[in-house]
Amino acid sequence: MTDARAATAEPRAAPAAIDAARLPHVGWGPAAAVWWAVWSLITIEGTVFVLLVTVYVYLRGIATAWPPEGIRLPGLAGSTANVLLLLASVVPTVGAHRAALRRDRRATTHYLVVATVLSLGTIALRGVELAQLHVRWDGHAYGSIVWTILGTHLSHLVASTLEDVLLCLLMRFGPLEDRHYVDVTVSALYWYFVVAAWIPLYLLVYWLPRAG
Amino acid sequence: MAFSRRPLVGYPAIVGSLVTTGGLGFALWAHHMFAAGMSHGQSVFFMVASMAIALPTGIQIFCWIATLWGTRPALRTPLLFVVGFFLTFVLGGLTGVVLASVPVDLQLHDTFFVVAHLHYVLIGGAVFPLLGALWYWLPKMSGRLMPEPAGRASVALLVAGFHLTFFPMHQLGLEGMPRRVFTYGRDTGWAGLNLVATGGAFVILAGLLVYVAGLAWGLRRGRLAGPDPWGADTLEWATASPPPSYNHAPLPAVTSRHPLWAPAATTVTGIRSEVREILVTTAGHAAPSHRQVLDGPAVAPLLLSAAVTATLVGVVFTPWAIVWGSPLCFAALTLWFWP
Repeated sequence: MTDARAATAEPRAAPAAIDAARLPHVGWGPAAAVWWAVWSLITIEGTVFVLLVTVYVYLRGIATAWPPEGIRLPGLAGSTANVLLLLASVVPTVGAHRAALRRDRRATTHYLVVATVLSLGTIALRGVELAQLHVRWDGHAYGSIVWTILGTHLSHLVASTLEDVLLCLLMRFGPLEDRHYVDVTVSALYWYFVVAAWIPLYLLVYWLPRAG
Repeated sequence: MAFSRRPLVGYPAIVGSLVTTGGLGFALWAHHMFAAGMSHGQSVFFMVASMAIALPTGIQIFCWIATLWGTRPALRTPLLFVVGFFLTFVLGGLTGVVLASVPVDLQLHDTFFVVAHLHYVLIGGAVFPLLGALWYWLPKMSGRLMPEPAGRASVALLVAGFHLTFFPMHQLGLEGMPRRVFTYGRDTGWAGLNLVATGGAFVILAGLLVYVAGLAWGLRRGRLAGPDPWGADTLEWATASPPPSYNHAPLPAVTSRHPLWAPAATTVTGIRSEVREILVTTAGHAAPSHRQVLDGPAVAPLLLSAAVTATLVGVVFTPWAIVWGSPLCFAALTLWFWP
């Protein structure tokens, strides 16, 4: 094979058409690979939520009573408070998103800290919600599906909060590069999804059984 | 294209046809199950979708023929495989339209007519182009041309052997010979055509042996290919055969769908070579967007793989694996992420 390689011609020199030396080192939005990665994640996890809704509706359709006899309806206090907190958390997230687009380190850090505190609050309230389900995960198919829905969404709350904590630490102490501002913007995208996905799930778990 | 020295005719029509074929593909799978029983409306829906696939397929074939039409194509082995593909695949497509019709399908279901049809489509549509493509691109991978006489002989043997084997099966199917049966009675009258088909199978084997022998000879002793043995238009033929690890130096700037046929080759400058820097372009128009510096070799991805594997194996035995596995994964991710 070596002689074949030696005998082949080198590519001819050609005039330059594009000078890349002045191009930036960071791509924003659809120019960034992480933007596509987060949208792919949103597509996959959105599909998972659709599947969970389908399972819930199917199980409810074949059950004689929903929730089953002797199980109280899931509590509205913790869950409604959590929806409001989730919606409120969008405000500092949008703030961090915009500050990151301006590459404003101070503002990005401040908004991120507020957003992280609020998302920690949503995790705590999710604990209250689980306690107010009044059913064990292994007690009934009803228990399994509501625990799975709340738990799957909780895993997203935890993942996104951990990401926020990391970004806070990086903004405050880390060797910051421009690409980390891109990370803040796509992390915001992910949080918008986590909040938006919860609204229909909240209506499904807490209001559909009350609707009759 | 390389063999007719002409750009593909009807490029947008071909792209549209491929997309349409992909879309229709979701709506015709039940044509395998007409005999299993379904409602009238369902069978009509799947019948219409199955027949409709002939339209985009026909458009593609006409575009390919138009690309060759009026030229004096270089009849080398890859193109001969493509011609064999046309001959075979069009016949398979025609019997496909026939089989898509529910009443005909109910009559021919599970007969050798179906065996003939599916081999015309699969061998004609996939195997012949694949063999041609291998013959076409192996010189780029190996740096050596495959021997043309062996290539031509293998095309002739394979196409002739194929039709000898599978064409009689149409008739056998119409005569009622069922598939997936291990033996048949003496007095069925199917012996003659089956003997022809068996003879054809040996011709196919001979063709394949000639093809493989041609490859073996070509890889060792074939003529040196040079960068572009076919006069092709696409970028892989701009670099040496076999390509160096960096593919192109300098990076070519592509302004046309046929960069090697463009009047003047142009390049990209300004990409640093002392770091692992690559040019990123926009997704739609491939306009230069930014320069991405890639990370060097790192141990964090390996640690993450180990953590994920340990967690997933762990949950098989205990749900607590999630509790100790998740922090492990998060730690590996943090190590990867932290600059």
